[in-house]
Amino acid sequence: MKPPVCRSVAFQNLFFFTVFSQGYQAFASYTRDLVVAPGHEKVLGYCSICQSTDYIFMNADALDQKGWDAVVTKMIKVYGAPVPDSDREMLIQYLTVHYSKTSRTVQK
Amino acid sequence: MRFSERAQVRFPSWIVLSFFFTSISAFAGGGVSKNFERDFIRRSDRPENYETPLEVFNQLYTPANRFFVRSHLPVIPEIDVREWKLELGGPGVEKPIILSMDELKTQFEQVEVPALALCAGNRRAQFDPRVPGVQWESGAMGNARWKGVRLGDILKRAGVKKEAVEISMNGADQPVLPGTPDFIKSIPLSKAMDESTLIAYELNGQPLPQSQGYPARVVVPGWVATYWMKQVVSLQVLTQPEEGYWMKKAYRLQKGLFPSLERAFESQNNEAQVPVAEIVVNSLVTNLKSGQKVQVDRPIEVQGVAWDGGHGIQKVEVSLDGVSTWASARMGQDVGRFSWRQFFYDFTPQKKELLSLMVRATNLKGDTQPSGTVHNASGYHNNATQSIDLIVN
Repeated sequence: MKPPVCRSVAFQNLFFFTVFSQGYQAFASYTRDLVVAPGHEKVLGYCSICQSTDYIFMNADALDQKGWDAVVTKMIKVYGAPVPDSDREMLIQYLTVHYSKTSRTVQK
Repeated sequence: MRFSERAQVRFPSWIVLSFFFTSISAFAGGGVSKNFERDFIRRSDRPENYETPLEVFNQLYTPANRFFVRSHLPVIPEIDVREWKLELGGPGVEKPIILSMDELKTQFEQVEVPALALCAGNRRAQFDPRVPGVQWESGAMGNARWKGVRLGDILKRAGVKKEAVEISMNGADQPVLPGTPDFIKSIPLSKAMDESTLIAYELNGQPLPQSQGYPARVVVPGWVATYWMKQVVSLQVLTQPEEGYWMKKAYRLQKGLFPSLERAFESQNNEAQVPVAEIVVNSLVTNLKSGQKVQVDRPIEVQGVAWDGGHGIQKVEVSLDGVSTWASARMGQDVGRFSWRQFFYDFTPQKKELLSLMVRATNLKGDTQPSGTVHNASGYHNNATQSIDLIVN
């Protein structure tokens, strides 16, 4: 099925901007920002499809690398998160380095 | 991906996908009310998981706008009650029926049951070592008068075949991703036929708010709130146990941890695990917090609530001396076995010291609270005796 917006680039940019801005507004203003470090855009992009970043902050004290591996694997295998194999390790690494009980980066 | 190829702006497809899905769920989910930040303690805003501040529990009935909110999935539609239908079907039903709200309210006896809704993971944050999941403190529960129709009466109208074993329940909530299992729970036929199990449309005399499952939810008194399906739209009478993720994999416990609860849902037991079902005996002090300062020689009235899965509370005991001696608290009004029971205990601290106050409930079956948590990998059923440190000065 050919989407009608492909007719003109200008309309397509407008559609894109609308979708982008709505998506941005979906993040409540009190939800904390993730630490800016390699991997954070992918974590934000994939994980925010279904849930807010609250889950990451909330579970940091309960999880180490093994724990985050199990959580990320569950998100992919059970909940259907569209994460290709090539990104999976980076997500686990980012969460372990910045939000685990063994390693934490404090946001200023 | 076609959009980013033809647009002037270049975005990798995973960004496009993520914002597209996020925006869909923002539209459909209706966003988060600003009042939630004021009225609750947030655990997550999406899906909505908000718990009640402790002082609200000094009231026998929890007001609807302070009633804890738990969601499994982020897409919660707003339903027009005039278009809402409850479908009852499945292989175990004699004749499937579809009911509107008008039919529900006029064709069946209306009943009201006071009952405690309690999240299976309440007090999860208080396990040590910590357990991943929603980090509830003590506020993922609420007590209310629920009004509606007996699920059993609806089942009798439709007719239940003798091969029926369970009733599955599906609400209108939806996942964002196609691969996420829809939130479906089942209960045994015997629990569905219990006179207290309801399809409820009112909470404390008012229509359910959106946060509590408007226009109707299942109410399963004595059982944990995962079964209290919000925005219920479909019931299936099953001749085989429900096989979905939310029954077979989620909400399960190792056998042997809570033996007195293990016969509640036998069709869902397997060799190693049982489903969490019946609420375990528990108590909570509602007017004092650990670390609070109190005056020496000034009388204190300790207030709290005690509850279990519907057998009834036999006694609540208080200890002030590190569990050497226990004294019985005064019990409040008994409004029904599925409601929590208020308790009160008066004492006057005699010495300036750090005073450890402990509270323990026992039910009419003789079950009592353990001194420590029964640790489990999912963080369910935290019913350790509560201990509060008061600074007497």
